[in-house]
Amino acid sequence: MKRTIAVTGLNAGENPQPGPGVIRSLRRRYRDVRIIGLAYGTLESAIYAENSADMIYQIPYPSAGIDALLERLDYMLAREPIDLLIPTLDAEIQPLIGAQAELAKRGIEMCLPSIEAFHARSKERLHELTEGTKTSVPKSTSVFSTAALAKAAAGMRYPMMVKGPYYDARKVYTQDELISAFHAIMGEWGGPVIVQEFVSGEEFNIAAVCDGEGGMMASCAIRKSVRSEKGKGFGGIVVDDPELTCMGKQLIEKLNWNGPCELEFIQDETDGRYYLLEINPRFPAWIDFPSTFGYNLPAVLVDRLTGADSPSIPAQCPTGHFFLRHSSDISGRIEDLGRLSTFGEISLAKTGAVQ
Amino acid sequence: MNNTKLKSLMINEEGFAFDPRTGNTYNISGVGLLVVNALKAGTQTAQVVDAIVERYDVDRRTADRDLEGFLNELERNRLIETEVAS
Repeated sequence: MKRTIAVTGLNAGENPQPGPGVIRSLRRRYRDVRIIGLAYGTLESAIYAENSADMIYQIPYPSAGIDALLERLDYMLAREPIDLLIPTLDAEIQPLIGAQAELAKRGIEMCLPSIEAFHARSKERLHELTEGTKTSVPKSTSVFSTAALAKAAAGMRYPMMVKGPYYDARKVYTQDELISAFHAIMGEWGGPVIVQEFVSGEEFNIAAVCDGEGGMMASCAIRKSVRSEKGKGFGGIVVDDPELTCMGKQLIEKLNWNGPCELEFIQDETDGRYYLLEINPRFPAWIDFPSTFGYNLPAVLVDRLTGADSPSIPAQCPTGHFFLRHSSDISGRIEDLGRLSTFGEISLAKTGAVQ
Repeated sequence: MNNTKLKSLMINEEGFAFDPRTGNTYNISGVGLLVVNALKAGTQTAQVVDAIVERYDVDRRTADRDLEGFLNELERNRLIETEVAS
């Protein structure tokens, strides 16, 4: 049966979003899937990419509220059905958790964590989450004011990390940089701002699809072998470290996480100890990498949502593969940009099987 | 010496090695390959020195010193752990 799946987060630029990787993975598995790309802006690169979405609709930003999104979805649903929605941006998850019943009424299924699990993995609650587990968290404090910032920084050494609640992480070496980073993040993302002890070492990520009962249905662990200036993984290699796997499983079990997630760790170069940096409530941007050799996590998610038989894959991704992000230019026609800008939707239909 | 982590090291005939725990890769030269394969098989260091002397025509003292340097390198890469005497 032909499925229509909507996917968000379509920009694969300097700070790549997971949508393009999710779409590529879906196309690898489902030859007849119809993909609807939900875009916030008209310049999200995957809008114009080959083998990407069949149809693009612009949607209101999460800050506009869930009613604005529902209204937009109703417009789309009057034109075509949407069976599944895979949100890929952090800021979308919380409002969508609250709107699951509304979307289900409209025939749209999602696979999201409980609101309790979503909050329990927020950056400011990681210490609480990791209590009683084998996982450590770098010393960190959440602050809303410069006074609290100064107090938090007084107990740490430079350099330190300054992080936003959803996005942004900046390494600061001086008090001036600390204050400047605090104001920049507060201005852009709001609070709390997290001030965190800096741990130097290699970064490891685990992408997983979880069953909502404390288990991981499938997971892939990588070490980021190439990092951009912003710390984004522009290269990675599959790893299999029992210690890392054990920590990931423990955290997922404690959260009873449902759906996709990405756990980010750093291994202290001085003593080899792993520290949990964050748990993202969605697939990572590199999610299509394991799909290229048959370990297709987005397909595991879709098969679960649709009740389809999933091809058997091991619970953990096998080692032996690496990826390098290869940037290339996407071209578009000015008429398409104009149409999307004017009407808020566009059918590009340049699809085909991804090789 | 704890060689559990070394045992998981995957090595091809040319000496290209991959550590699946960390994702690190190494190029190991001829004598290094002999040492790593011997340690993975559980050979004691004294016997590894014997094998180096026999295969590479070096005196025992040189082989011993070079092996010690190589073991330090393996330890720095967290591939072996030297047990500290209590």
